[in-house]
Amino acid sequence: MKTENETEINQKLAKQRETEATEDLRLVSMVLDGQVNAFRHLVEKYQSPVYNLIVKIIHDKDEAKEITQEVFVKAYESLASFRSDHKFFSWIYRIAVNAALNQLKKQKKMVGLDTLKGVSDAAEELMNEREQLLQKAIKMLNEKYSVLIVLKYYEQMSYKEVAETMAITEKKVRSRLFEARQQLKEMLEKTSYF
Amino acid sequence: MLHKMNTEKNSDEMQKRAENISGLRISDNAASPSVNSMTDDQKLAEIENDLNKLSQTSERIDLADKIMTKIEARTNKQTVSWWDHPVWEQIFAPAQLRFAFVLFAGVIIGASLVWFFNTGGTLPQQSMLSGTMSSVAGNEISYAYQHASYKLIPYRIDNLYYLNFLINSTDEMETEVTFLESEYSLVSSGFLSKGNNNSAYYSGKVVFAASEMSNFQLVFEKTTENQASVMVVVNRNKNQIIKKELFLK
Repeated sequence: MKTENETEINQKLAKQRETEATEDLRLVSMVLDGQVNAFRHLVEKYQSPVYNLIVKIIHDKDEAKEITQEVFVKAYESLASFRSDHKFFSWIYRIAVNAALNQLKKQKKMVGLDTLKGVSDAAEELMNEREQLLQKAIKMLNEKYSVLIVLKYYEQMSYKEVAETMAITEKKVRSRLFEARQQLKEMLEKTSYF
Repeated sequence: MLHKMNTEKNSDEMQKRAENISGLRISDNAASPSVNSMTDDQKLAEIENDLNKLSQTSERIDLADKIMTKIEARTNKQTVSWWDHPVWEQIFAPAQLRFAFVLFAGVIIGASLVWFFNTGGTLPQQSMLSGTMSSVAGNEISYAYQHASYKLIPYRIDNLYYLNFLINSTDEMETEVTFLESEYSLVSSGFLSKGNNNSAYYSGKVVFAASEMSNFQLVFEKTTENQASVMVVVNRNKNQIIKKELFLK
């Protein structure tokens, strides 16, 4: 159950994102008018969020840096196809998610699932046992669920924003997240989590 | 019900996945006593609560310079095709005008090709071809009218002149080829492919008649260096339709 404080914070976040979205649109139109340097502002603004999103999906920081660069280059090249009724951050997040998932497929082909299961980072060391179990269970989820978990809970996006990013309906987001929590429960029931 | 079936179906997979969560010891009795006391809804609520509290570890990076360098490199690499060049855009400013130009050019090229293949038209350079074989420019005959087509294609190999007559007609086409025996020696003559036809040979004259699809060939050898002509007369239904003097050089 969310507290009133949390709801207030979320509302403020949503409002802030709306303001940022308007600024992004202005920058996009400047780039499309030939001012390439305006794209630098978009890069500076979103490079870290995009990078962190990719890290959470592929769990490889070096690879994530490479993909982040590719994502922005691709975004620049296909900027003409960006629809102004969409939010730039949703659009670039979608490119990032797709790029990360593609990379994940390549990784699986190259090293197999078992190696991926062993991936851990320094941040995990700082977590309590309960959080570690949850994190690891998330990694075990199917990509279509784990990506939604990353967007909704790590990136703290609203259902609407997740839906825009993944190009699916808000209803679908809710049902997939429910299924994801069900699967997490079933996995965690077999551990000392509860 | 369906959900329950799916749950059972997936239970083995879930067990395997759970076993893969490293650092975890699982046994049949792994669940603590408190698990049994919690309902599914409570468990889901607890997971949701923990998901909301997940560590928001984020790292700041600065790849802007690298990214912009890549973008600038790619932008500079993009070359403008000749058709997209601004000059063309200025000359043919409206797209419709550009389309009309392309259409017009297409019609001209198409018409030229039709003329070339239908009339036996030759390129100016063709008469200047060197080597052992060349066409004999300017001596072709082409006729097409009411279910009849008639074509003469002459060419030369060394000092031999080949006259190929291609006939495709429902009516009989009678051809009379007259030449000076002092200048030309008849090497061979005859039908290469036959429809209804016949032919006759006289002194200094070859006559043949053909209908349907026929191909008649005459081969002359030039015996002197003098300029001399060969006369070709074609009749269709007793009416003269072609009379042409060929100057074979």
